[in-house]
Amino acid sequence: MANSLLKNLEELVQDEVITSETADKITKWYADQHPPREARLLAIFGVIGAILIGLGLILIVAHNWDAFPRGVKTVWAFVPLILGLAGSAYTLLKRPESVAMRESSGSFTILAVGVAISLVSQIYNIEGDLAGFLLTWCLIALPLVYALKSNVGALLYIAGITWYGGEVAYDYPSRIPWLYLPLLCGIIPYYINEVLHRSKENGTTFLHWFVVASAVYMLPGFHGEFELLPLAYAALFGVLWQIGALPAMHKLYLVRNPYRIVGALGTTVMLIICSFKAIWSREMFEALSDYSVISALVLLVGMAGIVLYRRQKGEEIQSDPMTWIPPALVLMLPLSAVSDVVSAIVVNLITVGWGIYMILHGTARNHLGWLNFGLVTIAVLIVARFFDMNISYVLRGLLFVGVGVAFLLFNYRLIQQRKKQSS
Amino acid sequence: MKTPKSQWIFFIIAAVAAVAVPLYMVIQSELAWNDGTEYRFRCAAYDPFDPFRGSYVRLRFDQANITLEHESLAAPGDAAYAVLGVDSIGFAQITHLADAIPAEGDYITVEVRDTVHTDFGVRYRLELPFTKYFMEENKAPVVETKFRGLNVAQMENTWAVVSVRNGHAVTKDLFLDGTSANELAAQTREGE
Repeated sequence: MANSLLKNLEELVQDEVITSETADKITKWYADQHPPREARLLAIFGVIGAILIGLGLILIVAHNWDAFPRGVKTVWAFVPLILGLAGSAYTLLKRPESVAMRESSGSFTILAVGVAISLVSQIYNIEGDLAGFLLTWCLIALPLVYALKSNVGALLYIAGITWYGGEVAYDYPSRIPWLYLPLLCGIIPYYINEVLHRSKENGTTFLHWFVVASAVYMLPGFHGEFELLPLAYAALFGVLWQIGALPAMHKLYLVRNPYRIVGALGTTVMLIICSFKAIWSREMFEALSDYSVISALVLLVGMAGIVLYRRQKGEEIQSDPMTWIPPALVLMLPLSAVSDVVSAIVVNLITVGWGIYMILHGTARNHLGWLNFGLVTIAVLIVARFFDMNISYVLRGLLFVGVGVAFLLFNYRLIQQRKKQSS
Repeated sequence: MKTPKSQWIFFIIAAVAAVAVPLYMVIQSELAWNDGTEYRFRCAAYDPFDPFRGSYVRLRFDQANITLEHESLAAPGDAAYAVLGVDSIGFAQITHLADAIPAEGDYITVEVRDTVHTDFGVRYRLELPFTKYFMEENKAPVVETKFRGLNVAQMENTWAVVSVRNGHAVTKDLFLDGTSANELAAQTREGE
């Protein structure tokens, strides 16, 4: 895109569509936006090389060299680490501006830390579970990320703490991975800095996806009753959506903004799950002290904070249904004490409303994605009702025909509308 | 462009921690290896794999299932201090489970997995802190095969040599029916 535009600039100036000053400004703007291609390629290959060497060393170490005496093996454990640290120090001293040097020395050193600890525990048969090992590794990696401002290092760190959290939460005997929370907070200042200063870089997009994936993966670690987990998830997806709507994120393309994609998709899935009556048939007072509900409430408080911030900035938030759906779902819990049927019916109505909103939103904005997302939501809701309601085949058939007709009609209308606009 | 001071501070913290953590592990282990008291833990051996640290022989100790007359305060999932003694034929034996670091005697930190009250006392299922014995990748499977080939009496005669100092334990060797596992693996390869 950028290249073809830059090629056309000369022609545009010749045909007096734009002035030569404007052409210069456009060229400069693109140059500022994108670092030179060579530098970027060097960074990518540097990092791939460093990671391959690091992983290769881990495998070589895993062979466990019995032929060497203990002392020699111990010295070897420190060699990659010292090399990595020396490379990092050289980068900071002589080449701090080189992205390739910072990224490759950072990722290599982080892997070398793992090599050193692994080799020492192997030499002395030091027991220690995988979780403890990952925790130590991550704690040492964190300051390295800040020192070298390495995005790949940050990605490795997030992957590491997520693995650690998973080991603690999902491996027998499972515990609540409390330490995961401060570990995640540890990378947030770096992350925010990247978002504010390099929001359009690919590295930052990767950070977004890693953080979102990590949060979604780790939430069940903090759950109590499995059936109440959808409420906690609804609150988490609400928080994600709100973060995606913040000024720094809102202007990004959808692919670069996983907060919005995952927030909207996840909330819809949770609505469908909660539309089943079984979710709501339980003792409410037991449920209130459940970890899932506590997680949901904490996340809702966080979400409220972001909503208030957005309102203060003068944004229109009342008309966004995603502001209301997650708290509404959690509030169904007290209502379910009165009647589980009523709760289920209300959730079904909310889901239909959300589906219709997306269809209208898609039509108004000429967006096929939103339109079909809305239609699919309603179709899935209908299929879900076949499981817990006794509906006659004729009615089921009619419902499906209705949704099918709506699919064709809405899509046809939107495409026609587009044709009209372009002609 | 000059690197800001803050980045240097982070680098120094990372560098010190990166060297100090493995170095501390080495020093503690060397002290236990050289100055620690050696115990022979009777065990069974089988062969799993660790993605970072390679092949090891997993050891299953008879001392991981013990019955004690007294009751420890430790609940399943808690850590406890196991005080070590030696039985009549010279194998290591856990004599006591303490809730705090014992003032006297060698001890290891164990995790209580399960407790059952019986007529003879309290039965504990424990996780000992040295269930892995790392070996070269082609040796660990050999040792496992050897172990499975042993008869009951020979299996009873299998033990790990563990050196203990101030609660830090280092596994020095593994003996299958009285022969060192490393020697056994080497013999097998020569014989092939």
